[in-house]
This record gives sequence, C-alpha cells and structure tokens, in this order.
Amino acid sequence: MRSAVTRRLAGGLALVLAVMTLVFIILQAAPGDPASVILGPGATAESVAKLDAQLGLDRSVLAQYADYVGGVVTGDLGDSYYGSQSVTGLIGDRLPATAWLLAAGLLISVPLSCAIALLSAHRRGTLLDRGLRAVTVVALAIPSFWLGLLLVLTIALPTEALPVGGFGDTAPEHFKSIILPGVTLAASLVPVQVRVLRAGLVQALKSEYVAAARSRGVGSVRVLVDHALPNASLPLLTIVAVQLSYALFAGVVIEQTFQLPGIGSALIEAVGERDYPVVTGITLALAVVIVLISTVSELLQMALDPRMRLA
Amino acid sequence: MVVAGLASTVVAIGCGGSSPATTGQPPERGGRLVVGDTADMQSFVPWNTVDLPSSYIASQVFDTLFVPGRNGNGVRPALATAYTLSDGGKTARITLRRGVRFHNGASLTSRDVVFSLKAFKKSPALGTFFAAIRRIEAEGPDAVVLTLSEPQSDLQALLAQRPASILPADYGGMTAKQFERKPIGTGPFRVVSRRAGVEVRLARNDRYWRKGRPVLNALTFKVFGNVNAMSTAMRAGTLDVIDRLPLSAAASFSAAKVTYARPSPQVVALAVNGRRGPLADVRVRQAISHGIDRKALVDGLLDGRGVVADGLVQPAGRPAGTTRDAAPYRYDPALAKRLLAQAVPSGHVSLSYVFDSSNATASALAQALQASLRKVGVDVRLKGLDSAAAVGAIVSGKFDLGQLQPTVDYPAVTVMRGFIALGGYGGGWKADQAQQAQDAYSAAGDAAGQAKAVDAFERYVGSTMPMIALYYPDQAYVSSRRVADVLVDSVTGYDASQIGVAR
Repeated sequence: MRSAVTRRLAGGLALVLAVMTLVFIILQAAPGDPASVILGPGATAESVAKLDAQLGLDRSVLAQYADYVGGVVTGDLGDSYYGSQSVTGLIGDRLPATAWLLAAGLLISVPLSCAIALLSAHRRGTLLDRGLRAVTVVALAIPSFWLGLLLVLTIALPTEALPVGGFGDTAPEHFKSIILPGVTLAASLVPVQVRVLRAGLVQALKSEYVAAARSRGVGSVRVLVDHALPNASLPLLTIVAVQLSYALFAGVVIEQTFQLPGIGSALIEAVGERDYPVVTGITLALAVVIVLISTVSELLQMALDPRMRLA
Repeated sequence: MVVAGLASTVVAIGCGGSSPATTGQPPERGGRLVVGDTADMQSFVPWNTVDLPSSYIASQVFDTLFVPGRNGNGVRPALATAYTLSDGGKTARITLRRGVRFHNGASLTSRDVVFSLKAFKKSPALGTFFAAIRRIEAEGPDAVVLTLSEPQSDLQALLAQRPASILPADYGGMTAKQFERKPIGTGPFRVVSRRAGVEVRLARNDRYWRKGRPVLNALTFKVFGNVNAMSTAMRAGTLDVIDRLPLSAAASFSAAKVTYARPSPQVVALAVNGRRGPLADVRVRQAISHGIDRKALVDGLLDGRGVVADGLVQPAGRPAGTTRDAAPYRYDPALAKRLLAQAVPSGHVSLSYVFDSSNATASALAQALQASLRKVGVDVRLKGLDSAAAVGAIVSGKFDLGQLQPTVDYPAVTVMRGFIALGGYGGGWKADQAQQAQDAYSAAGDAAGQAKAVDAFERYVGSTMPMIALYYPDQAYVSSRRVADVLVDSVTGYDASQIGVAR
C-alpha cells in the first residue's frame, strides 16, 4: 500500500511539473503581452519596453522559467502584475469560495443521485425507471449558466430569501450564498452519477452474492442498500473524483453567474490580463489539487476494495 | 490613453433624464454606497496604470493639485491654491493648500508633491506628457516650482489628470509594493481592504480638507464577472450605482434609473495601418470613411444613444470655439466606390479588421462594418481576439484596420499627443501636421488659440484619414432609488464625496 502511495505521488509530481512547464510555454507563445495590457493601446513602444524591463519580461524565456521554478521550489509563486498581491495570497483568497461550491455541489448531488439511482434500480424497467433516466438525460443537456439565471430569476429575485450573487463575509452568509450555486453545480453532476450508480446497482443485483442474500430471505430494500450499494459505489467514487477535478475549471461558469469570487474566475481574469504569475500559480495549485483528489480517490478505492490492493 | 478628464456637462442621476435635479437639501450624512463595475482596478499607484476603474477609485483616495472644472474649459484648484507663470511661461510656481493631511495624519508638504510629480514623469504609462518639465523642485514647505523647456499651456490640465495624484513622499516610508497594499492619500476616503477581482472597500477620511465631505461613511466597489450579473445585482437592490454600463444593457433598465451623459468623453475610431497594402493610398482610406453609415451604427448599435463623429477629438475634450467639417465623415457610398475605383483598378480591396471579441458591442460593430463596407467593395476579414491580444496586435502594427475606443481624453491636446507619440495608434503615421497643431496648442495663450490648433489637427485628420472616427457614444449611469440628487460629470463620472444615500 505504501509503495502504491509513493508511486502515485511521484507520478503526480511529474504531472504537476509537466503542467507547469506547458502552461509557461503556452503563455509565452500567446499573443498580447502584459505591458501592453497594463499600459493600454495608448502606450508607446518605449513605454512597453520600459515596463517589460520592470516586470523582468525582457530576459530570456529560459531565465524567466528558471526564476519561476526556483520560486516555486522555495514556495514563492511571485506577485501579480496588478496590485502587487502575492499569488499565494490571491489563491488563498479565492480558493474558499470554490471549495464551498464544490462541497455544496457534492453534498447535494451525491445523496440525490443515490436516491434516484436506488429508486431507478429498484423499479428497473418500469415507467418510473424510464422517466427518471429521461430526466437525467435532459438535465445533462441543461447549461449551467442558463439554470443559474433561471434560479436567480425564479427564486432569488422574487423571494429575496437567497442572494442573487456574491459570497458574503461570514459563514452564515457563505451558506446562504452557496445554496443556489450548489444546486446549479449539482444539476450538472447528478445525471452522470445516477447513470453510473444505476448501472452498478443493476449489475450488482444480478450477482451471486445478491442471489445468496435473497435466498437467505433478506428483503429487497435491504438487498439493494446493504449488499448492492456498497459494491456499486466504487465506480461512483471514481466518477466523483473526475467530476470534482472537472468542476474546478468548469465551475467558473457558475462562479461568474453567481458572482462567486472563486479560483476559476481568478484564472479567467488573469488569462485576460496576461498576468503570467497568477495564471501559472493558479494552474499549478489546481494541478496539485487534482493530483491530490485523484490520489485520495484511488487510496479510498484500495481501502474499500481488496482487489484494488492486489492489483 | 489618458483616463482622467475635464468635466463639460453635468447631469443628474437618481432622478431620470439628463437634466440636473436637486431637492435643495444637503444629503444626509452617513450610509454606504456600493458601486459595480465589470473590470477590476489594476493598481492603487496612480502613475502605474491608465485603466478606468483604477482611475476612479484612486480619485476617492488621492487628490491632485488641480481638478477638472465642470464647464470643460478650465481647471479648479484642489491641493494647489495658486499657479503662477514666469520666465515667458517656462517656470510655473504652485502654492500648496495648508492644513491638508494624509490618511495617516502626516501633513502634506512640497516634498510629497515633488516625489509624486517626479514619479509620474518617470512612469512608463504617461510620463511622456511631462516631457517638457526639466526640473521639479520644492520652494519651502508650501510651494513647488516646475521648470519647463518650453511653455506648456495645458500644464495645469495635465496636473489635473489622475496619474498626477499626490502621494506621500517615498510612499510614506513604505516600498511601492507595501504601499500598493496599504495606500495612503489625502482624498475623501481611505482604503480599508482590497480583494483582487472581488471588491475594494473604502471608509470616510475624517481628516478630509473639504468641509462637509465626504457625506458617506463607506464606499464599496464590487467587481462583476459580466454585465448580466451586475444588472441582476442592481435589480436585487445589492448595488447602488453602475458606472458606465454598456448601452445595450442600459436599455433594459427603466428610464428613471438611467442617465445618459453627453457630450461623450469617448470616440470609437478605427486605427488604420498606413504602412502596408492598399491603405497606404489616401483614396482607399477616404472610401472607407464614406462607405460607413455612421448614423445607422448609432441607431442600430447604440439605440440612438450617441452622436455621429465629425472628428477625432471627442466632444468633451474640445476647447470652446472649435469648428467642424463633417464632409470627410459623410456617408456617401457612390463616392466611396468612385474613390476605390480610382485607387484600385479592380474596385475591390480585402483588409483584416482586429477587434476585441470579448466585447459584445465591439463584435456587433465589427459585423456591421463588414456588411456596410462590402457594399462599396471593401472585403473586411474579421479577426476577433481577446482584449490583450487585440491591443497587442494593434500596438505591434499587425493589422489593417483595428478598433479603438480612446476614453476620456482631456484636453484635446492629449489626443494629439497620443496620436503623435503612437504614430496614429499603431498605424505608423508620421504626423508632422499633427505635431505642428500640438505645438500651436501648447503655445496658445487662450481658448481661441487652442481651438484654432484643434481645428488644424482635425483638418489634417479629415483630409488624410490616418484614423477613421465613427461615433461618440453616450455614457450610461444607473443608480438605485436610494441614491438621490447626484451630479454626474459626463467625463469624470460622479463625485462620490458628495453623494448621500437614504438609510
């Protein structure tokens, strides 16, 4: 088990390094430079050159890369070109909103998916099952921004019970602010979770251990919940890990719809401003988070499924 | 481009329409105002950047020696109380207001002014505007002397620009980076906190030198990811003011909440790359100008909220007494076709058009121009880039036509200075005539002389078409019903220090 963890972490480190290098190269190749953005179209070539020198962008790409890697190794991700805020400070400032969003999305989606999938599997082949599957297909096609706006227009604005946007300053305000974004995110997660879990449950219900349980007189609901669900949940764990990683980036649409000051929005803003230290810093942080999510997911699977440990 | 400007027309928001309306009662002291914008400020150090949010927020935290007047033709004293010229206009002596204190309690002295103006002069952003200043020296604690290489009639106006804000000497004992995090000024509000991309919170400066100001206890600037989210927040009552909302979005608010300020401080214009291809021929440039139906653009894209351009200097930046010749900007497709046929035997040209595709209005304008110019034989290949890439392409000359929206240039000479310094905004133009006009403007002793210089500049632009002006869009301001009796300047926006809100 320990060697497996070491292997996963070593692979993750290599992946993070590769992402960091790739992002650095892509930014260098992208049209538009920070000095031109900061100074605007009214800047002279001399002004741009002067600011490039101030920002250290007149050095060779290799020198800039070496400087950046050196900073990362010592825990210094540099400062934003705008406002001199440290990149680590900015990440620390913007990560909580994203973490709340992901947590809310999972807390809403996983129980809901389990309930729908259990019901669907329990009544498989019936009209209810077909209806639930059709609903998940439709839900999969709903764009997050559209659903978000719909929730704002139909719930937040008329009732004033929930904020139309923002994140608030206190934990209770965060909680109120995250409900609608959480529902929006959950709506995009539930369809896939339901389909994966239902398929797992249906498969499990055909297995010999379920037949054995039934032969012992175990009731159909207990068979479903106590015997089929634990085994069918393993693929769900993998899917949730993938969805979490995806939502780190895809959640930006929801962040922008609900004005959540999250990490995805910060990344989009930084790309638009060609704020290289922030773009590379956030990408690096997200790569680390994704590697961690993936590693934790695999470790959980190993813990839950002895066959994984043997593999 | 320069982002600070001089007032020209003052209108009121919170009461609808475009005419001033006040209750006559002084606003109630206290309260908090929340202002929305879709762009975040870039820096608190005023000479570092030229973006509008930084300029507006900085104007609440810092003061300048002079401030733009409300009539478009002058400046008013702020931290300076007197301005005298000697040595044939080559020496300017500025007397400072006494009793002004920074947010940390330190008194304003000439040392602070010398530090700030020297920093402005050295800044990459706008330092070239101070090129004529040879020396900046303190004369005792309450006066500063500027020695110029030549007379500069617009010096006071340049000192009223936001990047010429006065900061404490040596950043008040901090490094520039530390100052960026804890800025100190003499302005009506002090900085409480800033969260990049989220919000800036300001609180009343109780030591402010203007009696009775500010009215508010707190002022918050919130950044929104898009116009829709900002508009929704306004409808939900979590926002009080939206500063310069895109005209397409403003139309969705009730008239009572929106004020359209005019004359415009903006001109939407096409940068023209005269270094290559058919655009090197003046007839092609004139054909393009005559092939654009500007009125249709204003009606279609701005819902009529704008004015058809008749020159490059926007209305809010023009000195009184300027005359205009609209002929070079007249829509005449037949003439456009004739000019193109004279310049190019085939009567057709193909040109690239660079624009900011993240801006909905810019994208709509690009498509409208493409359709309009196709009718006269100009095939426009649209090249939509993100904002940074579009600016980069234009600055580096990788374009045939490019869309620009110079904002809030005051006075007119800054348009000319910008045009000359940038070779026609990326177009590679050698603007000797523009230089002469600028020199005449700087040397002019009165508004009439300045107007003549601007006329000469516009004649050069109209006959040569190194840039093609399209229209001057109105500025839309949206306010909640809590905000009452706020005077909005069409160039500098509203003065937050005098705003009061219902509590």
